Amino acid sequence: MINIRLNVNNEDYQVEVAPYHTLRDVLRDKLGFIDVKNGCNEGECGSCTVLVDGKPVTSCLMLAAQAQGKRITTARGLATDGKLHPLQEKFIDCGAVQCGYCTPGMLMVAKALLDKNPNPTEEEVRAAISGNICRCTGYQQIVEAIMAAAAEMNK
Amino acid sequence: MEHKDKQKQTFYVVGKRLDGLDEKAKVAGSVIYADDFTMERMLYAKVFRSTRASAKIKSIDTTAARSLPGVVTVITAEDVPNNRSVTGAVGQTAELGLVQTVQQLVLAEDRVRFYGEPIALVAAEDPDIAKAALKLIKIEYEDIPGVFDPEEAMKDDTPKVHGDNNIIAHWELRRGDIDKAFREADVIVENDYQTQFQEHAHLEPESGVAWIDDDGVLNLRVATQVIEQYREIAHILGIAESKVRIRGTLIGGGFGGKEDLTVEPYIALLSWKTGRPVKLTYEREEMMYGRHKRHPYKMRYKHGATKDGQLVAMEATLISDSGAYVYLSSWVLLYSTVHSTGPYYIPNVKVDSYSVLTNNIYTSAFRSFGAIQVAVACESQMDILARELKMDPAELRAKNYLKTGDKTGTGQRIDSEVLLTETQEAAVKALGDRSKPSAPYMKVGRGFASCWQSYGRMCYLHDTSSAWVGMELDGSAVVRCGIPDLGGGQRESLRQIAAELIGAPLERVHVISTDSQVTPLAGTVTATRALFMSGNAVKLAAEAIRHDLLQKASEMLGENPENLDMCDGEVFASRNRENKIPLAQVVKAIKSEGNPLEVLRTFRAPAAEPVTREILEGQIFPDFTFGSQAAEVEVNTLTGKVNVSKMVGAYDVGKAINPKRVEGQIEGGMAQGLGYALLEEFIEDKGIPQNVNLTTYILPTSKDVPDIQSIILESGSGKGPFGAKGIGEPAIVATAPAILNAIYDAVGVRIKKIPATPESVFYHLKERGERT
Amino acid sequence: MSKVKSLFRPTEYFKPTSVEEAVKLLARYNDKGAAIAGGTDVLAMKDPRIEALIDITDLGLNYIKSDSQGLRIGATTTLADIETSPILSKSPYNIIAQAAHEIGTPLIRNLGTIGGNLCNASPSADSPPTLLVLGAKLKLVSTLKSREVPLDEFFVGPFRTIKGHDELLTEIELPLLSPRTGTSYQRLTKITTIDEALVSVAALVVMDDKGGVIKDARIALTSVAPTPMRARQAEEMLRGRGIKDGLIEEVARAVADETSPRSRPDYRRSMSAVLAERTIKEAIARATSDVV
Repeated sequence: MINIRLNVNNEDYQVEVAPYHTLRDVLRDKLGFIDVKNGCNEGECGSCTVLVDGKPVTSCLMLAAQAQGKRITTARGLATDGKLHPLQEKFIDCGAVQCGYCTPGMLMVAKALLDKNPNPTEEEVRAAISGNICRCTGYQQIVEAIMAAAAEMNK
Repeated sequence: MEHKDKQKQTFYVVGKRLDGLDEKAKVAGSVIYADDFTMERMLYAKVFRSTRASAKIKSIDTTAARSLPGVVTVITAEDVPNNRSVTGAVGQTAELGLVQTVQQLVLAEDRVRFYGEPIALVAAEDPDIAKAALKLIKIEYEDIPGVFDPEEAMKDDTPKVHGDNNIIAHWELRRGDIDKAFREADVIVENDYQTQFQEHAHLEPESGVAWIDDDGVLNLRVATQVIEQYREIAHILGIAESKVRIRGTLIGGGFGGKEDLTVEPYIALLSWKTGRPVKLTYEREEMMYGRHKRHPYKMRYKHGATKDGQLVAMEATLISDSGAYVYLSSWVLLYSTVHSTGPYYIPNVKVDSYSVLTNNIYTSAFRSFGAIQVAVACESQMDILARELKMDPAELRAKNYLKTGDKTGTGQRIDSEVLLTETQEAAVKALGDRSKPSAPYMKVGRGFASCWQSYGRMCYLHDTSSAWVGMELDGSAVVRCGIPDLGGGQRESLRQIAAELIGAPLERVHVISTDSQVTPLAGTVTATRALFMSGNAVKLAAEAIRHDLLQKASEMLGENPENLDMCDGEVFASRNRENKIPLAQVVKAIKSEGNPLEVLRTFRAPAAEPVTREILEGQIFPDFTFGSQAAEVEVNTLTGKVNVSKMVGAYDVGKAINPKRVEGQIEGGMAQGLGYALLEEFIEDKGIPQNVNLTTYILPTSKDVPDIQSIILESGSGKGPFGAKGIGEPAIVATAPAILNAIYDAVGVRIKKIPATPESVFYHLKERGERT
Repeated sequence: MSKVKSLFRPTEYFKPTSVEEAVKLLARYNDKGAAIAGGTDVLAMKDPRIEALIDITDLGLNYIKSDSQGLRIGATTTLADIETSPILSKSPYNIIAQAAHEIGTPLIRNLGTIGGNLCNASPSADSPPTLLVLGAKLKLVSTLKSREVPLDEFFVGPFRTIKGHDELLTEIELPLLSPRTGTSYQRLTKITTIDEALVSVAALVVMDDKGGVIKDARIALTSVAPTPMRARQAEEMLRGRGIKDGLIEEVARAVADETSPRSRPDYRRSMSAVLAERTIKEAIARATSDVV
């Protein structure tokens, strides 16, 4: 077991991990971040997406040990002082949330996109979320929500 | 005392695009789904599954598995008190008559009948140890001949999967004189169609935790569409039904995949045996090969029409693959049979349908429950017929659509409104201008399809749904209703309905749901029944309370109850808003007189006698939802790849309680329909699964699904609350045929077997010699 | 906890800071050690034999450099970085970025590396065709030696390469290209529900000064053979030829004949021809548009 320090949503955590533990394992099972979901084990569904130094990755395919010294963000880290992030608000407004299982991952990808490209086209939004499966919404309202959040944030 | 229904004139809450508490929790990432839940001393379970499609189990040795440090117990069939589960009709109690499902086994006994069949269970301190223990179970198989094609399986001299007959259901539609009608028809169109195994692929795996509480009650906290399954669990364990409690979670997608028992029997058995909490979560591969799929169908359709496009005859034979166990196959087949005519009036009908056992993966419920397969055939037929008759496909449909008062193929009278022509026109119009091809070798085409789908379960099941509403002293309220929430806003719709009728502010109404020992049982979240049934149950309860509130308020305000209305915590005179009183005051007055203002009501759906004949007649379902979808596609004539560039879905939902959620259902259903038409196929070769992960089973991503437009029409004629109809399943039915018709329009090839993969389209084009 | 033989349970994790350190570890652990960068293959496979994970992301191998000798790409450069690199944004090297764009999902590309994609050696790997036509050489380093291997010789079978367990792929070298070189890359997406394996074709064409004769041609494909392959006979049919009607269609058919797809062979051969025709034509067009 290795003792590592992880920075998640701007807070430091000391945690013991085995070399084979994935970042997802540690976030969910050891640190209680259940907003990082379990949908598959091969990076195919995107429900475990977190931001590592601002880049969205599937945490089931990253070793926990590799996340040392990096800034990790999960969906819970979006709201500030209890106030929802514009992305979260627009997801609700636009009906982009049905069963909610893809939502945390989608939010992370959307955040990373808007941080890099504050004014994306619809095509760019669709490309950015193409690694996140949603089985409930048909993506329509998710795309609308992200575009609406971008517009809101650019005001 | 019941309040006689007087149609509400003004709506304050119902009909609005409201945000829900569930949405807030989901964006915040705080929802505790089934797999997110842990308990002290919890064990982890894994299922040992068959790797043969048809074999005897000669011997099984679990010694090595048991001795692995960290393994606490291993269970096989002989450890199960009642290894045969009784599910005939999930969540219901009525007598079923003719249809009895072959009893399902919790764990395989001396024989396995499909690859993936559960044989043993392991519980260990760690999920990886449990997984390692599976590899230590020694099993000896002896292959026995299997059968993998349903048509083959119908023959006498093929291997039998259970008993002595592989045909487990046969339904018929009979009306008029079919031979005469065909003799007199001007045009006859006959074709064969085929559909595939489809996987639900809900994002959340099946999962649950079981434990025994201090009162000795076995609790299951599980992602399920049916909390009434506690009865099956009690039966399997041989304990009293009152000693099993199912607490349903907010579900991460179901679509019928969490309708039958999934993890429940396993965690129940393991927890009961070990005395410790046990969690089981399926892995993605396990979901693919271990759990049921949508029934593949082979269909032969023959339509006859007059030269001016009047349908005079329809004959069809449907054969569905039930897989290795019956589950809900007989019912799915019944739905197919009833819906096989399409939403058309046809005076002469002859349909024979068969569901057949094979050694393939077992098949059961999946959104639309049998209506989607026949729509592929029926709506293709209508398009082909139109072209034979040199008629506009829209005109042909409009000429034959069912109208209010018409009788369906079973003789059921349609008594709600039928807005098919309106939905068809809306959908086609919304496609807008035809797009130009993006390259010389691309061809653009457009197509549409109309559909119908029942909402509410079969009347044979005597469906009921109960709800309790109680007012608090301060004018807030609690609603208790067992209905599970699949993600479609089921729970929130109840809050809206209750708040509307009892006049409390939406945020002061609390809904507690999905607990079999705490909330009145409301039935399953399946069959597009949730709003219809539980919505009506809450409406009944809330109306009773409303009656008492208005009675008392009328005394306090000096106005007739008919002249009063309520909203946002106030009761007021409709014509003079200043004459008002706080709701809390009215409530206090009522309660101080000894009326607790708590009401339990049961809504009963139309009921019919148990089915005793194979010919389906009379009222089968409470009602139907009607709609149309239109699609524009671009076909790459070099590669056969079909890209859907536009999609529109228009449905009459009666009344949209929350339009935001209705649109979500339409759009989501259409995306699943797109996958069904073009991308998705679970493939087995002699019963051995060929694609078991999401790289090889292809789901639509954001790049595959175009902008989808959803159009809501509201006839107000449904049997749900405030005239609502259901939308969950209807949304998926018309997509595939709309796309197939669009492909024909683009390149003149008729795909009759789905999915219409690029390879399939490519070879059709090659045959037709159309490649540029 | 006892050692469970069937599970992925490496007991060691190292993060060396120099190539020297890394190859010492690889030598020590041999077939029980695995280099891990993005982890997208190592963690998807979860091979139970692995005892030591050697994290190679801190060795400074994440770069794309262009100099007078050509192009050098560090082995742990992520596919996302390749996709968006300004150095790879223009013809003829942009086919590398295009191919990288097709791999996996945007999330996987943030983790996955070009070195990982090559060393995993899937028969349907997306980066090999473009690198093959560009004449890539791989730098393999071990404690004993350092060698350069043409990519043409790297793949020996499905998921098998000539790289030893004790070797580390550090760099991909691409030689300078002559003027009037044109490249193209085409890929089919999601053909079937079985086999994510798809057909991808890359072509490189060098034209003479007048733009009428093909001086050199290279055509590479993936997903149509046990390893990524060059269509050498088809290439021969192009070399030294003038462009005339029907030549490219004939060559495209020859490309298809050289393939040996394991499943759905008819369709994949047909698609190989379709894509070969398109890439050859496009490469020629790009080569001749570069005429100064």
